[in-house]
Amino acid sequence: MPEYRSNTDEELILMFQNDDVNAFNEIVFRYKNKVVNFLYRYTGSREEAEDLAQDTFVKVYRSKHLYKEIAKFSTWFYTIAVNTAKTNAKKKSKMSTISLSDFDPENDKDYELTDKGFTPEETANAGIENYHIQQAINSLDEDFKNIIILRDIEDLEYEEIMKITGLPMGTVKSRINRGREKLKKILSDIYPYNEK
Amino acid sequence: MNKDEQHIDLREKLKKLPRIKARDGFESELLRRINLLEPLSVKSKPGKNGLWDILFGKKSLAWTIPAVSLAVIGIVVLSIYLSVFNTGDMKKQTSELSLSNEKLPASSDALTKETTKSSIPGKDLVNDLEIGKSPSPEKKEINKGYNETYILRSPKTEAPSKVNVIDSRKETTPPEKGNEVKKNGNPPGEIDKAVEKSMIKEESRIENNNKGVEPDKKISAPLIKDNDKIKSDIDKNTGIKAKEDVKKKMSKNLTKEILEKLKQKIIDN
Repeated sequence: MPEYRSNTDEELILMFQNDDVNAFNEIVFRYKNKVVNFLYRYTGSREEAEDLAQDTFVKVYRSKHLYKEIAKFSTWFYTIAVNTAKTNAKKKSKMSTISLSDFDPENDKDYELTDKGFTPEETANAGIENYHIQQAINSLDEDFKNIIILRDIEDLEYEEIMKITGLPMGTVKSRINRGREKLKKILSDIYPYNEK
Repeated sequence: MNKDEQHIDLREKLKKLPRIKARDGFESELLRRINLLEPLSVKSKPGKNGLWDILFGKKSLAWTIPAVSLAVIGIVVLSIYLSVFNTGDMKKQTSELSLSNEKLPASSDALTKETTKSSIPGKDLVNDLEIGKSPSPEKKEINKGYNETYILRSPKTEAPSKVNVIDSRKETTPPEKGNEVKKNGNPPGEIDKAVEKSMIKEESRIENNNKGVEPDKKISAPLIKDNDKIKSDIDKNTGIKAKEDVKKKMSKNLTKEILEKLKQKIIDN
């Protein structure tokens, strides 16, 4: 949509609120890679990241009328993405607590679960270092993970993170700081030569 | 910013992480999902905006309940009022009908009397003869019976019947006493001999039949013939039969013509 390139995100969402579907297509074009990347770093799985990214865009499509001009569109959009990722993580944690053998106690056989981590190709392409960094991010708590990704990977401002997470500025800053320290520690444990 | 500078090496590493891009089919897949969800949202809209939800749903306004209740009360009151009003009309109509029925019996009784008379026309004559009334009233009775039968054939049109009655009376009743005597050869106020004979026959037959036969069948068959005879005798005197004959001939001719036309049409077709 070349005619929409000059419009800001806020203008596009307002146009979409007036039933301009092409404006929504432009929003998808602008944000699809950002959100997929954010969710990939959050989940550690490309398929899951794309699935959640689509869920995020569907939520934007359905709740377009909820956006108000007082906030930046990116803030509103990332808020939806973070909430989608969080709910997905909660679902996953609930699922992991249920044993698979409970469903079929007679046939107590092993189930082959798909590896949601990196495939060998991905690790080869991204490099060993990147692989270990991602493993370290995955091991972070939910409270630190999304803030670190938003700040250090997506390069969002503190104020924006504050609005997205709904936390006060002090909490955001302290969490970022604590998260970085934790990440450094994890990386030094699993990738000790990085500290050199 | 100082804290950012403290962890600058880590930040650089995180920033250097490769950017993951969405796959080529991402938008088409998204479009498919949206199209799947859209019909559901369209279906769910009418339920949200339904009348029941507006009135009594979670988002119902406070003023809707009293407003609706007032409206319902108003409708009920109006319906009751209308029903009462209608019943009042019905009562009026029934009272009118009853009044008309009260008025009717005189005429209806007369009609019934007439019918009884007409159903057994000869009986009246016989009774009158038995009583020994003067012949002129008897004649009137006969004429009356004849006219009454005419009235019964067309009971709806009262006015024409009256006219007919008057006309027939004019025709049947003697205009002058002297003229009648000259025509019939009988003194004024006396019945024809043939009529007298037929009446005597009727009387005898009635007396015979009263012994074993059902009351309804007593007089009907023989008396009609006799009555016809009486009529024919009277008609001969008055000239009505001639008119009837002419009418019959006319009707026969008309029917013949119609039949011929129909035959021609059938042949043409």
